[in-house]
Amino acid sequence: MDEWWTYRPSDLLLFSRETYYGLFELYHASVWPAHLALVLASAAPLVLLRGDARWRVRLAAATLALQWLWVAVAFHLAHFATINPFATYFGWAFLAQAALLLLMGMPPGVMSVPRAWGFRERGAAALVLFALLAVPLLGLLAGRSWRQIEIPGMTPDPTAMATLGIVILTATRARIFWLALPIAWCLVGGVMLWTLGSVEAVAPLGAAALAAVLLLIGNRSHRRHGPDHG
Amino acid sequence: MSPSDAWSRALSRREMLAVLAAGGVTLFSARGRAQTGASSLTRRIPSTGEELPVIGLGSWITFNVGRDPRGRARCTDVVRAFFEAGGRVIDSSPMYGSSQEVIGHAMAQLPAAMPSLFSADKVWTGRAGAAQIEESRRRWGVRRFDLLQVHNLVNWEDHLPLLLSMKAAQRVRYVGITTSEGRRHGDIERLLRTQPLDFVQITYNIVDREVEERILPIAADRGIGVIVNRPFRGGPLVDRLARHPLPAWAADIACANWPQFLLKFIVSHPAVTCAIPATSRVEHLRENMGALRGPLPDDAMRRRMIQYVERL
Repeated sequence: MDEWWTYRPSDLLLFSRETYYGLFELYHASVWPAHLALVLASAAPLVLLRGDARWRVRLAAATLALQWLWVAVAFHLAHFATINPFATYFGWAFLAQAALLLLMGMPPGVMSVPRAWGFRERGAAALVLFALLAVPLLGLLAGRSWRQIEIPGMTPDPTAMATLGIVILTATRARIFWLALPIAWCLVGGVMLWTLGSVEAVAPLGAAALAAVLLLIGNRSHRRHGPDHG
Repeated sequence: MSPSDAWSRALSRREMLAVLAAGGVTLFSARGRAQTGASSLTRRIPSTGEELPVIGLGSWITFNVGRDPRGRARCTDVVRAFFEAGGRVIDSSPMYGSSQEVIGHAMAQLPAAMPSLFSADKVWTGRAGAAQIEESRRRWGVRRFDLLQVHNLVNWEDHLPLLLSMKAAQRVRYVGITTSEGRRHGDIERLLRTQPLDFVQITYNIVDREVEERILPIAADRGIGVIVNRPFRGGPLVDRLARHPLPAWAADIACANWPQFLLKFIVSHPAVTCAIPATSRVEHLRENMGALRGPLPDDAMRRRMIQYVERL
């Protein structure tokens, strides 16, 4: 791209807010009733990670990976790409993150349940709850109809935000490795919403900022793994 | 020296008369059903003398509605109203997401309008320009494009010879280049001086007038038609001006609203062939197409328009 520094986000945005919101309505209608399974999958890590058994950790990572896989294929590649040529790249990035999350749960000790609940753990839990509960409501406040809201496990922003929280809460090492793409997406999604003039932009941008702060806070201790029941 | 003054000085009286004679505004009976008995402002394409209405239709963002049936129906309504108001030039690009498909969908619903269509598209790829053009043609559903342009000069060294060879083979009628928001004006000037172009597409509006200094005079001198994009700066210019009253003297040039005021300023420049505002709303389209009627501002009025907007 010549003179790339002269391009603003608005120069790269190919669609209107009305079209973007309408895309979610079409998407939800076309994949129903997958919502039931995916919303359960988005909440599953919170339940599974109440214990340290290896099978719980692996299953939690697998449900996270499933959500990224779904969003990659069903949202980015099958729907978003109809109005945004860049969505193909987003789809591949989400597929890569799905693979990373699957890998994350495999080696022992990469994920564990926090032993103590300090600022970081509470902040990470707040991120997850915000993604699961507040993001859909924020969409309604921003002018979406209930048919157009973002749903964790199904659409990119809350999925990335919830992933940030869960990984910060449970990852014991190489956190930035698991979090690079979710943070990048929160920035992309936030700038996109900002450019569209939606107040919802504060959610992914705020989540990325909070995740960065939580990552900078010092090491925390984890409960050691229990026996592998998996 | 303001760009407007520079424009006035850049075109001598003799040159101005030559421009007006070659591509000057004329009035002709509109084709649309709604325009019976009315007349439209047109300009001649300098290289052939073919007349075009001075208001066209852009498709950036507004026609990129994907597979949304309601969005497609809304765009079809806009295209229908465009032809009914006497419009002909529709511009798109493979870079505009689903816009080409949506135009093709609209034209398929409006077969009677197809003979009036002046299809303007672009090539925008690092390579494989011929394949991209063929894919674009298929999406539009046209036999051939009227105008093909090199989008933002991307890989123009390869694409321009391709487009010129297509023109020689009568697979496209006109060839052009585009830029937007003032990018690469040095390259644009050089190509206008050295290449056998029919059109150049640039950004020009009442607050972005840099092209008056060099590009518009060169286009006029070389007999190259000018298509103007972003006449409303993508919308914010109209939003900003809408907070202020339209001056009473705007009625002297038959302007009933700010979009018509802004469009008449643009198309009153003698080097401009047409402006291509984009919209997805029929009421906005009708406002825009109102600029096809009534007198255009003269040079004194153009200066008054600039001064009024600059004071707001």
